[in-house]
Amino acid sequence: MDLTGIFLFCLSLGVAAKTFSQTVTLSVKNASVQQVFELVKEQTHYSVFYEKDLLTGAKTITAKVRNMPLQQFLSMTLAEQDFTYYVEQETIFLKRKPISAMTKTGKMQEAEVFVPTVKGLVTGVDGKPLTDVNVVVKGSGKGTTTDAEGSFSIEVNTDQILVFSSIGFLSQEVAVSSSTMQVILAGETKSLNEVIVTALGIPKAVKSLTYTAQNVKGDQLNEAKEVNIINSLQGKVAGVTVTRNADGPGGDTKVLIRGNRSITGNNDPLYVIDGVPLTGSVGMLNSDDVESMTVLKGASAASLYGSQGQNGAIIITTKRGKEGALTGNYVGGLSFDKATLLPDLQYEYGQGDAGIYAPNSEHSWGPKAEGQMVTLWNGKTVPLKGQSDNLRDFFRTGSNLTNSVSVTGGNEKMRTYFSYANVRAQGIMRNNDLIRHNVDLKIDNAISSKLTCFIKMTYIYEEVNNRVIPGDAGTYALPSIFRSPTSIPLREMENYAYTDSNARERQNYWKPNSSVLLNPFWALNRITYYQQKDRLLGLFSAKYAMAEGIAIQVRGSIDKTFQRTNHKVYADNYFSLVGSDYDYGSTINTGVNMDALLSFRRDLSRQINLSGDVGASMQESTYSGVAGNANGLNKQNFFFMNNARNPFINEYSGRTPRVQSLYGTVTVAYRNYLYLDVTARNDWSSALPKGSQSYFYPSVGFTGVISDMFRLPLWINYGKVRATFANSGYGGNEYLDRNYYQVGAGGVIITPTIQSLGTYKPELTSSFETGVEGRLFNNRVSINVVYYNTKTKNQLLLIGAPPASTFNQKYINAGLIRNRGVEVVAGVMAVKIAHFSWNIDLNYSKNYNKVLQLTADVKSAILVNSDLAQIKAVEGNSFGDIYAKGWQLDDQGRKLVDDAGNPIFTKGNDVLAGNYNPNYMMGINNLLEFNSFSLGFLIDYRNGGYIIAGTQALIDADGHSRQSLQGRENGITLDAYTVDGKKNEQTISAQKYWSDRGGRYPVGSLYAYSATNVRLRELILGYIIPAKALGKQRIIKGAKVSFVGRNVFFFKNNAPIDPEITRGVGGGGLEYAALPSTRNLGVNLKCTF
Amino acid sequence: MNLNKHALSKLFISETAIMLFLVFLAVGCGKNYEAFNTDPTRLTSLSPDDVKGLFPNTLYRGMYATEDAQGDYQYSQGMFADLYSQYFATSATFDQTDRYVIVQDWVQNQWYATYIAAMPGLLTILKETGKPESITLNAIARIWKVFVLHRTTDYFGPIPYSKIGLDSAAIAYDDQKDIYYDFFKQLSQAATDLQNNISNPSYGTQDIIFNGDNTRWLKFANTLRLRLALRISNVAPDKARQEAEAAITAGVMTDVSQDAYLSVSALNINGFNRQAGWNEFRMSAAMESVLKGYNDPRLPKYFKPALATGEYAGARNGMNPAEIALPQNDYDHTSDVSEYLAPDNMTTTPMTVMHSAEAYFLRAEAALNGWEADGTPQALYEKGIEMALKSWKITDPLQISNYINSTTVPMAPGGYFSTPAMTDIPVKFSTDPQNQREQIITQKWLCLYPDGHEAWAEARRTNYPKLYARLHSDNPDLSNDKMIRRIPFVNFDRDKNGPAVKKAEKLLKGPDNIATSLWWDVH
Repeated sequence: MDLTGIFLFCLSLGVAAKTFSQTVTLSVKNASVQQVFELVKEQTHYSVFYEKDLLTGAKTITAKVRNMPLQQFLSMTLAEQDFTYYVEQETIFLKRKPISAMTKTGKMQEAEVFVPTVKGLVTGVDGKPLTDVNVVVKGSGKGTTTDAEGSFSIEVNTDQILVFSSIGFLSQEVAVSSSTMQVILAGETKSLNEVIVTALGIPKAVKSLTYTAQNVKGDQLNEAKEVNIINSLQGKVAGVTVTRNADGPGGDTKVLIRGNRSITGNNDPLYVIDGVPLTGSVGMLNSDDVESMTVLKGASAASLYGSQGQNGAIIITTKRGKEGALTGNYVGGLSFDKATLLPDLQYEYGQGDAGIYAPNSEHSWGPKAEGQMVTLWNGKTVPLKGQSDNLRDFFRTGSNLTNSVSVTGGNEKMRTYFSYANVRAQGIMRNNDLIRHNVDLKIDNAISSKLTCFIKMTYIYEEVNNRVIPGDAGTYALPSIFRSPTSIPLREMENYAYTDSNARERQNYWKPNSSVLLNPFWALNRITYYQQKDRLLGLFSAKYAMAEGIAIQVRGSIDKTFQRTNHKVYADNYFSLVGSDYDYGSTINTGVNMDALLSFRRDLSRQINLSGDVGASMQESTYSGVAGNANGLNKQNFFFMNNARNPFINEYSGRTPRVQSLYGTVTVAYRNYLYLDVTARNDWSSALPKGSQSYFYPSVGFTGVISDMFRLPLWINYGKVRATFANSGYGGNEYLDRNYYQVGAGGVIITPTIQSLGTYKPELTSSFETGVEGRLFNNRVSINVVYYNTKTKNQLLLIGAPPASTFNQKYINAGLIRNRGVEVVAGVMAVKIAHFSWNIDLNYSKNYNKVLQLTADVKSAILVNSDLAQIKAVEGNSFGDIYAKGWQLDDQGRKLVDDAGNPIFTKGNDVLAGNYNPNYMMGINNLLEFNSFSLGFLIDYRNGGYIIAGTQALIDADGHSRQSLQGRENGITLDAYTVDGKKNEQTISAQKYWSDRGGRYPVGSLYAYSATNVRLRELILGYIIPAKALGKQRIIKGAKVSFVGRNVFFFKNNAPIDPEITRGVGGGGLEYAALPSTRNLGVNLKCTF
Repeated sequence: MNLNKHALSKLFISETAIMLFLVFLAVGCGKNYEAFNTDPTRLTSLSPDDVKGLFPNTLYRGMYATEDAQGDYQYSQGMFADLYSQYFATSATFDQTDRYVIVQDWVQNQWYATYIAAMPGLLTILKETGKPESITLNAIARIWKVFVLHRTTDYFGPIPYSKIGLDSAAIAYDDQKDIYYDFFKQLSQAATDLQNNISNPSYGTQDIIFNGDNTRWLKFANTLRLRLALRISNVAPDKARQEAEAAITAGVMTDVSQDAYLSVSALNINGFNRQAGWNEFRMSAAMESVLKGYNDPRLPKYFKPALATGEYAGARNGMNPAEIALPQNDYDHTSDVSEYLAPDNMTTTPMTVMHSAEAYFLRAEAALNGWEADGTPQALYEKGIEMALKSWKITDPLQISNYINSTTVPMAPGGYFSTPAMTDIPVKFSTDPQNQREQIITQKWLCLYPDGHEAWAEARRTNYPKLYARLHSDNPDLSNDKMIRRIPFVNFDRDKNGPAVKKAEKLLKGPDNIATSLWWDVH
């Protein structure tokens, strides 16, 4: 299906909508509602619709207005009525106010002004109630928020002013004049005046930005919950690729913004929380604490972050305390994971080799399984039958249970936010589970009118049993189950151990002491990993307003993680020669950031505003730890270091480079439609060679809001153009300027294997970016198009050295990589009629990567060297080319076989099997709303790229795969030629053919699959529980329940695996015995109290 | 425009002061940057003691042993030379190397161990011991360098030799003849240097082969020179004779007390014992035929009875996966290595570097060639057998003489493949010179166990012992009935040193494959 088709269709719907900019001029006294609407109809040509009885008992209207916008007029005149309105397609619809609001209003009628409680309703211009709007009594610090129905109630005197504010809406001050009120917050201009947090925590109006920053609200991320919040970004932000590591709940995630920029260095974005760069993993944070995430793409957006921001930055703003009465939130979620895309196996032939049944075989090359009785390795006699449920039953239904409670409250002097959350997740592997507790306390305190401070303490505890390690490392459970003969009943495997005559526990495997596999259940239970983390994050910031428009802020933060791990290997294991074995580790990682920032805002004239920030920062991290290895245990299966046979303790410590920086940014605004943004930063990095530790990089950006500068056609509501040039630098990792000798076990001296560089220059990224943004057709369509071109030079490349140089790898300071690309973000309000709306958001990104240069004499560098393939950067090609073994071809491009008919494959990784990067990616997010119901679904499309499916190669060689059924009975006569040019007529056995091409060292190019796929990434059905259903109780003020699905199904996928899941976080393009992808279905409940 | 000048000037005064403070803050603490960027857990320079401290690792890695779980030994030697010398056959269905498929991912570990693990330490030692007072250290390092590299060149032929350690994008290979001629030069010079400074202290306890005994290093150097001399005896007989006689005159190993073993520990484990833990190597049919036929007292020292049958049984080399999977051929029905060579003893069983028995067999062959070897072929052959048995703690004189005079011949293993006897020669020294040569090399083959490296090299040179044809070859470059002549150049070096490898192909006698013979190999 052509997905752009949907988009164009929606665009045409949008065009049909008419603008809504009518005004009203009239003067009436005690007129009936009907009379007033007659006048409105005359002036605006709008029609008015309402239920027959609606206007019975309506109050009369007295008003005198001149050229008042229609909506403002309606809001004003209908504020005290029992009904409200919305406007759609030149029609004013009148509707009864929501029951809760109405009853309150009704009761208030007699109470009148002296009752110090005001009740009211806050809606958007469309009449839809707005929740969580702050309602504060000006100057008193007293406040509340609106509930799920948009209603609020607050004690206030008639002469006081209420301030209504909500993120993304214009604040509004309203004098209290009656005991009931309806407030309409301007919604149509919300994004234009939206303020987002940019680099260094500097808030900026979206309108003034000279680069691309895409903001995602916490609600959008949380609705379909992920244990790791970063996974929720997939498909929601253009140019961002999220790749999950297949290692179970809470696993790591690789995020790539606008392609790979660095060849062998780091391509991870910077994560910033509440203005401070994060040292540890982002995945552990409580997703319900997130207010919003802003993705700053490319070097220009993040130039103020310097080194760390070269790959873009993800700015996470967490929820803070709100002024007003104590309010609370509870979010609960329960979801279930089911393995999808399991390897495609055959169930026609049983265990054995060469067509003969063998109870000890690790293959499925046995006889046709027709129910004949056979004796298993364990002596049981069973019918030989394909066990088609084995894989499905091996993986359990995973579950994720999350609970999160937050409370907030305070006054203008002090506001507090406190939250507690826990996650209990069980992975689809039976031994894999996670427990996490998050506690978060944040206090905003105004010590005086000039001095405010903010303090944050976060504590996280996490415990993970048996994080899944895919491939040949780790417990080996995944390769073992994928490679089990398909005719062995799973229940026979489940008795994974027995006791021998010496009362020792032994592994119950069909081929005892095999060097290939294990009983998969033994692997799950008798090789275990445990990981426990305690993490403390602290942040303190103080801000002093020195004078009007000048403030200084000082911040300090620490991120400290204590981790303990242990690894137990029981006796009778392929991995352990020494019987049982035991390792433990204990590490401490600490990251410290300090910065000071001086901000100033000045109006130089009525037309020119100047604002700027000057700052300095210092950051460093340290790590230290001990790792103990037992090298065998004296008393078997007794896991305690005192029981170690040959204990060896390895202690390590170090520190990342200390980077000190000075930076500044100045923005000049002319009449709030022309903006010039200049930044400059100088870093001093301790990593760089002596004498060249300092490097400087500037950026300049320009923005013009065309719609404010010129008169544009009425259908263009907003238009903006912008351009930025930016540089960014990177000083590299620590300890690279010298060769080091290591003192190894037993005190021996060990030579280095990586050759350092005596002197080198910092890596430099220069980028150009330009874009246009527009809002059209009464803001029903928004579009944002960006083009960028980024080049990174002086890369610190770690390349392979000739072994005879006595080094395995060496650093060079060269290379030039270019990334060019286009990003489109568009939104369409496709349908907006009574009670129903349909919004479509589209993200599209395409990145062209080219390795322009490596070095004068190095034209190709190996990035990843695996048994399946090599990933390379080759000059003139794209980063991430996959080279693998392939079929040897003759001069005419025909496949070659030897005289016996066996395929001839190339001996090295010399065939280009593809590149792992996608051609382009697209996400289409739909939100349909019907009264209290909402339906959201996100379709995610990735076009292009290749992945080598290593699991398929294993199960082919073993005869387990469906594919390996080919040629079982009559052998395989390959359509190929001999070296002498004769057409092949020889037949080889299927077992020979499939084990030649598959296995652990397969002919990789025959296992290269297109990674193109289309999937229903997210499906959310939400329902706001009506107030009446909540009953008379006063505790729960609002509630919403959602049914969510993630990774629901594929519309298209040609690979035998989920191409998104790769072997490890570091590299793309390779899969090998990875944990299957999962489909997640669940329910979320959100309550306000 | 109407700028508010007053506000502007006020702004600049207050803010400049703060900016200056920030500059101070940022730059002021940048003084200790070098200390920040120095790894506290590693060394940047080496004291004389540290230079000696480099030696153990070069010995250890030169024998392809690693402390990590993967094990260079298996990848470097076990999967290749140990199978091609027919000490072992594989019981792993995935191991295609026994069927002549060269798995590059494995053999590259040999290259790594040589050039990236062993050579850097040796080169650093050679650089740091140039002064006269450290000449013994220098001489011993030169001897060990020859030992490590002779194994590498006997795998591949041309290898980087004279240009090792060069900081260049491409490091040239040397012709094998040039390498061998330099080996002789290095060994004779090192032996002279050592002889002249025999009482100088050397590596002491850091010498995990001879524990600082210079005399034993001297004998080792001369024996190695003799080994290399015979290696080239078919291609350069005059040079071979000259070097062999010089080595014998200088003094080769003569007694088991001079045997070279690399001592191991919990931290430096025996690579061979470690690989046995993978349960993938079994006694070969060749070993079965000879050891059982001769009723050799070393049989229980080398192997243990099959788990399922309690009998000693060998496996044929070159079985295909289906044949390996047959119950009668699988690892439960064939003999694993003995307990002494098994993982349980990997922290105590020392690794064999060289036996004094080998020196006798080399001299026996030299005498058979008509060279001056200080003894008759028969006397040297019999002394060699005596030493070989003594190396395995078989010391009963009667048992030794019975074995030496035994006339039984190798047996026919039979079994699934109806395997015949490997050959028909007995232990007792024959009168026929042709048989004598076969006997000398066959006994040397038994004695070298489990050093497949040397055994395979000598099998290529002499065509002895008369090993079985492989059952299958999966490599189109060579049929199963032919002996593999070399290992192709490693992709590991092609990837990183491509142009040099391309040039090196021209130094070969044929294409870069397993069928092409090395320089000294004129079988």
